[in-house]
Amino acid sequence: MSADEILDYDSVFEKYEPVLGFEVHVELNTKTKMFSSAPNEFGDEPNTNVNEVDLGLPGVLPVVNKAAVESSIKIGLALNCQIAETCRFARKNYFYPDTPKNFQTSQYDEPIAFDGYLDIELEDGEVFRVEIERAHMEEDAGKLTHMGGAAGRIQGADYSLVDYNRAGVPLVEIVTKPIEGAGKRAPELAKAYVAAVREIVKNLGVSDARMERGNVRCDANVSLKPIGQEKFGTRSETKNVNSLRAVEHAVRFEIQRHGAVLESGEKVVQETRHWHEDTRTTTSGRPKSDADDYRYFPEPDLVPVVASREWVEELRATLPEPPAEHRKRLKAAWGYSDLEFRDVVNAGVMDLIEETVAAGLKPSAARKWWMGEVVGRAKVAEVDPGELGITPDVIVQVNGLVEAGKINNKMASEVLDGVLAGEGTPEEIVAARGLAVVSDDGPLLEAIDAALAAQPDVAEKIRGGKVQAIGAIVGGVMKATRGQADAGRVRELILEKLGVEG
Amino acid sequence: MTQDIIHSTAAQLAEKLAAKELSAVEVTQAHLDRIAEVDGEVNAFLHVNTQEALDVAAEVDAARAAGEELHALAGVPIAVKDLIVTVGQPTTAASKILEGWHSPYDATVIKKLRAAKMPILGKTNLDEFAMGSSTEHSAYGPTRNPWDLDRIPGGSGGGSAAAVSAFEAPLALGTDTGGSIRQPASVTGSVGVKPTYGGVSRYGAIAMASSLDQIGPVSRTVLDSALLHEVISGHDPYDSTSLKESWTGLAAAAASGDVKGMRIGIIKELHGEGYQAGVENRFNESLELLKAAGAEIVEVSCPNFEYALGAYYLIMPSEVSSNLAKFDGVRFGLRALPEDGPMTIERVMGATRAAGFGDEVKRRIILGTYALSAGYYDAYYGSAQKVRTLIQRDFDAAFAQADVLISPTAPTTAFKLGEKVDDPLAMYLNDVATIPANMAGVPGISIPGGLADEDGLPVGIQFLAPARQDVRLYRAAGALEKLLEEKWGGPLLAQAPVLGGAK
Amino acid sequence: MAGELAVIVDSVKSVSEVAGADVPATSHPIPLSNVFREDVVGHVLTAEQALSGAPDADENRFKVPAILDEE
Repeated sequence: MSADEILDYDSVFEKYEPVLGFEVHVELNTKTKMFSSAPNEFGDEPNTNVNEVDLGLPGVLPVVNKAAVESSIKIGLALNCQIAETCRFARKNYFYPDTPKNFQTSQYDEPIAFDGYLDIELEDGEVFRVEIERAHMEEDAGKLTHMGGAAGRIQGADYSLVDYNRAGVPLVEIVTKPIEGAGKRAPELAKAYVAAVREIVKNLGVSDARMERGNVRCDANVSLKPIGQEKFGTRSETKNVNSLRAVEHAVRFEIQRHGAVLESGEKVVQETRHWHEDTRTTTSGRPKSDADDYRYFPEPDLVPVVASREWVEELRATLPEPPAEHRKRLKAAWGYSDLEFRDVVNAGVMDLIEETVAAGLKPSAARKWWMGEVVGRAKVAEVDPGELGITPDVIVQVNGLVEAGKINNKMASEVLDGVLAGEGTPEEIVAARGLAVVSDDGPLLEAIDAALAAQPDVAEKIRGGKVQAIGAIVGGVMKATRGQADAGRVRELILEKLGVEG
Repeated sequence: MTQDIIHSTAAQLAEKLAAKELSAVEVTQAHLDRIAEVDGEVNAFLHVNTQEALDVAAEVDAARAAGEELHALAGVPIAVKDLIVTVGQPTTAASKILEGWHSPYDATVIKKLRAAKMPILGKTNLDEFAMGSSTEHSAYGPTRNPWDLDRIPGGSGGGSAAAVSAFEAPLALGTDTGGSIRQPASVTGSVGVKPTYGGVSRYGAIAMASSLDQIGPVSRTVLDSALLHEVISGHDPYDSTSLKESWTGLAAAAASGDVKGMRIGIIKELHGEGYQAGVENRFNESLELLKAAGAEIVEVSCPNFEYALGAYYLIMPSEVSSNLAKFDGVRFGLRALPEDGPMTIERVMGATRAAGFGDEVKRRIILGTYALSAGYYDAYYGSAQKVRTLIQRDFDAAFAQADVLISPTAPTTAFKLGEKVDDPLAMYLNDVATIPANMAGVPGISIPGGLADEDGLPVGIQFLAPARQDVRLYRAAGALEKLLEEKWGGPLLAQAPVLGGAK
Repeated sequence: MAGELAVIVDSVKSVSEVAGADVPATSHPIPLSNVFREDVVGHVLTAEQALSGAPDADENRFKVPAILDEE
């Protein structure tokens, strides 16, 4: 299979405008599944969280999980949607081994929530309104593991194994209206949109929202149309986009790929594509036709859901502060500047800082650690900061060690490397690596004397009031102590010795 | 002794068991013996549950001896249509695709039978996946009508009806989607009831048409069905369509025998033309008897019933096509491999379904897939659901004029095996009088109305009541049964040919 | 079978003509609404029970032939 051609990104926009659409599936964190009372748990032994309903055995019937309905209504409200006064479930009929009944119980023309919007703030502060077509309830399928092919891929597999633990887990599918006008910022907007949805459902407490666990999944639809044309171009749908990073890259790739196809005079094929993180490309899946006939009809085994206005208002009253409000409040509480706060949000560490502050650190300290030590490492490792492997708890411990004077900042950085290398807890790493700040003034004073003696002219400058020159002496002391001195203390001692105010 | 036992009604057996005149083991053994004696000819049973049935009977005897409190029907044995899942016995739906399949869970009604300690004699034959009116579409051979072994016992629940009519069981469970309990009752001279939709849990009944299916009682007397109905009915949290009501007073209504002042409505569209003369005669006779007993006979018209059959044969196959999708060789049941070509799961699913499903099942799946497909939904499935509304309105109007409605259960008596099996449309017409009740969700009962003059075969009389008013069925049917048995000098089944060795 | 189906389809076509646009569709014979279950864990099957009917299984999972055709 030859790699697809892609056009230079900026060139695409000389002739074309992108139109986007997203279907985001949110896995709810209810205790039980959508239509059965089996546990909704991640990671257990295969086929141990199933009962006869989840397996679709002959004779079984679904019963709706009330908590899932409430979560769905809350999601709808948080997306500024109308909540349907009455809605029904529908059967979406198709054959696939991960679908136990060979139909999915979903909602078709009667979604529980519809006609909403989300205002997305991009990194530079520009706000973009994404309109939400609908949010509806449905159930998840089981998990297929493909065996015998390359890297577990479905292509070339000899057989597949099915685990139905996930079958029946409640999902809410959020569908946007076509998104126009994003222009070159389309990939950025895509990422920001999915991040915003993720943030909302996490904030509502209805989902664990961990993309790496598939709690939030994104299917991205991309099409191009010639600038000024009304009619949309043919779209492709990209699945398996399971990180924010991937959302951005996949949208960008598809724009470039569509551009190349159109420029070569070919037609874009309407199809489902798969995103591959390793090659940063999409490959062709199965042809997607809007004529995929799912033969929808109202689910006869379930009765309508009537969302009385009282019930909806009761639920609305339980909604927590929306993330945008939450952000405003945190910014004020932490005292960051606009730019500092925006950097924190854009880096994706706001929640982590919040947790760290809750554990006792000062906001300024928390920001220093996360922005200074974690964000950079995450970029290098090409993962989201929360996935790197450093938890707020680790930060708290490391910070504690520094504040207690046991280690300095340089050592703290080494400790974090050790945590990431799996060497253990910060305390253990400090011990194992022999990292300890020289805390006894004695050796420090000796080193200071030596440094002052070695640089008498600098010493004079300092005595004369040029305090900035102290850096050279500190440097000398740090060198002599192989970096194991606390720079702040060294500076203090030098000033004391020289009888100068710092 | 066996003859006395097997010819007793369930109510009589319950009385004798309570009085310790009979032991539960004796009762169960007598029925097992009867099954061994006649089922070779009748073929009502797909599986006989010998050991477990006797074990349960023994438990009942021990409990009774110890003075424990037992359900009124404890120790009274029962047969179960092989469409209802049972732990410890196979459930095949009379299909090859489920040959030998053992369910890991019990249907809710089975749990109720177990709680009442009623020994389960075995699983009875049916048209494959309940699709048919003659039991000829079973993958395991047809069941024969005890009145004439060359004739059909009705369908889809021919096995349960034949089992009670041949005295192999005093009680049975059936399912009724378009008449599958009532029509077999009609052609075998027994009693069958379709409860109000939602009155009995469907959890564990292999789904055919979800919005039409109901599990119901099969017996030889109205009182017996009432007693069984009270055991199996009631709200089930596992079935979202089950009603909150509990059903009591049914047995009392059955026993009362009183129809004075009851308004009984003859449905104009469900008798007369298209109905066998002998059926019509027995129907008229019943009307006379009821009138003489003080009932007020009125005529009602339900003009939209004309479209009920057509609408049914759109709604039912549509739901069937979706409900039977799960039979694909992946999780349970038959897996058949394609003879040649690539071995993909899609082809295995195709090969499995081709090998495992019979022709009638395939016919209905294809019909249903078509009726639901894009572009056809509105004209077919969508329209049929509207006809359903019209049928409900007809019933509402009719019940404004009458307390119960009455009709012959089926247009003909039992036809010969093989006579209609190659003519699906002719076969579908057997259900013309029973289908409206399923479409509207209202309850219905069929009781023996006598024998047709021209062939000496049983005719069934059907009563219909408004939704949730199952009690009216038992009152009306109990009264008519009493009147007819007085006329005959005993139950109709006493006139049936004697089967088996002891002639 | 195709012939049989054509006959059946023709005979049920009349259905599309009888109900006017103003007649609502009935999908459930007895109207009910808001039938829910509390979010409380109930019973599960053991993996053994779940797989008891499996035509083919491996390591406690259901085994199925390749989903895609070998190219």
